[in-house]
This record gives sequence, structure tokens and C-alpha cells, in this order.
Amino acid sequence: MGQDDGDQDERPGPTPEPFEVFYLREYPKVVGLLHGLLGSRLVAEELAQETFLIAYRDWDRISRLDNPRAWVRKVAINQRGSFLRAYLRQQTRERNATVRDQEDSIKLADDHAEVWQAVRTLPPLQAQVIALHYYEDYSVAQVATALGRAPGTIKAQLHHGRRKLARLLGAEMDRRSSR
Amino acid sequence: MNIDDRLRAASQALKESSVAQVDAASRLREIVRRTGQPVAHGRAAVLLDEPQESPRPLAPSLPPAAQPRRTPQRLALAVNLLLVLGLGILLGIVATNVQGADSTTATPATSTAPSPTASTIVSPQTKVQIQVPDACLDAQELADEVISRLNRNVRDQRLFAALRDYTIASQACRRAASP
Repeated sequence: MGQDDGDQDERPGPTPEPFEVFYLREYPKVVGLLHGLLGSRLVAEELAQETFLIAYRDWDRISRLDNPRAWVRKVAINQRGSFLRAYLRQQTRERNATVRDQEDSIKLADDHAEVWQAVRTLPPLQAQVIALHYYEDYSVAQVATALGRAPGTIKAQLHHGRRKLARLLGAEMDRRSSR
Repeated sequence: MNIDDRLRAASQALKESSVAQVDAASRLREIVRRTGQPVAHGRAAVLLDEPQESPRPLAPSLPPAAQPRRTPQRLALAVNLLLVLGLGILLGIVATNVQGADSTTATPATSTAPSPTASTIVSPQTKVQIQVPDACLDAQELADEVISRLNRNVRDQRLFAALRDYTIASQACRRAASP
């Protein structure tokens, strides 16, 4: 696990990557991450766009960072409280909604959609930890760096999050997966 | 399937779906349009040192939004005060005229009594009925409506109509009240 090793980068070669190439590759993935957490494609795209806009304005510096890919994810889920507000709004909406808006979502098989819907019922930090760990393949240390928390906290959140999800989804809890 | 496998499968599915369904190219054009800068290509690209505009939060903070509203609010307050003052003067004129009319009609009745204080004596059975012209009552109601709309900052066709009717009614009131 950990295709995105904290300080290492998967960028080829020593020269910074052009923004265009970086954007076209990373934008849909960031939208996917935010969509998994927020359940709304429109909100996810808006937050992702804001993040990449910030990156674009300072691309000369950000492109030289060790890991611009991790930087955009960190900014996307920490963006001035916008993420948290959107997350809490979405939780309320999902509790109250009887019919899901098909236009406002990335289409997934029911089984997978159900998993992400369950993730969105978790407290914000737990949901972020689960999303970064599974969707981004981040290790506990990388999640801790991205969220600015202690690795121990992340480990605990991961454990509690998995347990809650297992209960919600009626899935078997795999003890071996607890790290 | 255990929860770990379900989360991995759902993450993989979301990643693939977002890459397939999210149109990154059109959003990239949007970034260029919003910043007015061409897309940077690597190290050689020169981006502006200072951002052209500060990153826009999704939910704008209250103070900047509240500031431009201050001037119209002050204007509305001034208009309201003027309207109230005008209405007060109008009612004062009407009341004075009515009292004047009453005293002129009361004089012949009191003139039959030789007592010098008779003009100031009013029989306890006599009730003084002040007749306010209908136009003045209309003007008052319309003024209330205009004030209410201005206070709520509802500046639409209905405000225009109420203001127009108020002007007509106040002119009629003035005509009715003048001797």
C-alpha cells in the first residue's frame, strides 16, 4: 500500500510537470475522492476546481514540491471549512432525501454506491481517513500527514470507521486488515 | 466479502467511474477563462507572482457581503424618516383644519350665551368627531406600506406602485384638507 509515498513523487523525471498534464490526470481522481465523501458531483467538482485554481495560480512553486499530488488532496479536503460544511450538509440531505438525484452523482454499481453512502454517515474525520486510506491508497502515516493528525489518532479512526461500516453494511469484519 | 475488500472494490470502482465520467478538459478551459492566464507548461512557464484575485471561498464571509448593503440601508432609513415626517405634518394640518372648522361651527351656538367664557365651555354630552378625509387615510396606509417594503428592502414593481399611489393620495389629502 502507499503508491503515493509522502515525500516521494511519482512524477517522471526531475523537471516539473506541466499544469495541463497534471490537471487532466488528477482532476477526475480528486473529484472522485470528494464525491465519495460528499455524494454530490456538483459540490465535488466545485471544491476540486477551487483547489486546482489555487494550484494553478501558484503552479511554479507547487510543481516543485516533492508531492503536488498529495498537496492538492490535502487542500481539497481542508479547504477553509468548505469541505466540512459541504459534508455536514450532505449528511443532512441524505438523511432527509427519499429519492437520490441521479444527475448529481457519478454513476456506480448499487453495491459500491451503498458502501460510499455508508462512509458518508461517519463523522467527518473518520470518513476522510477511510477515503484517503482506501481510495488514495495512503498509509496511516500519509493520512496523518495529510490531515495534520497523529498517526495513533488515524489508526484509531480507521479502526472505528471500519467497525462502524461493517455494522452498517452487514459485512464481516476482517481483523487482519486492522493496522 | 469482508469490509476491507468491499471498501477496496468500491474505491476502485469510484476511481474508474470518475475518470470515465468527469470531463476534465472543459473544466481546465474554465480555469484559464477565470484567471485569464494561459495554461503553464512546465518550468519555463511564468505565472504571476501575485494571484489576480484571492481564492474565492465557496461560502463568502459575511463582512464583505454586508458592507455594500450599508449605503442602501441608510438611504432607506432617511426616506422612511422623511415619509414619517411628511405624514406627521399632513395629519397635523388636517387636525388643525378640523379643529378650526369645529370652532367656527361652535361659535354661533356659544354666541347666544352672554358669558365671556362660553366659547371655552364644551358641553360634556357633545362629542367632537374629527373627520379625516379618506384620501388622507389612504395616504397613511400607503405610506406604511412603502415604509414596510423599504425596511424589508423589497424594491420591485409593488413598491413603485405603492409609492405612486401614495403620491396621488397625499396630493388628494392636501386638497381635501386645505380650506
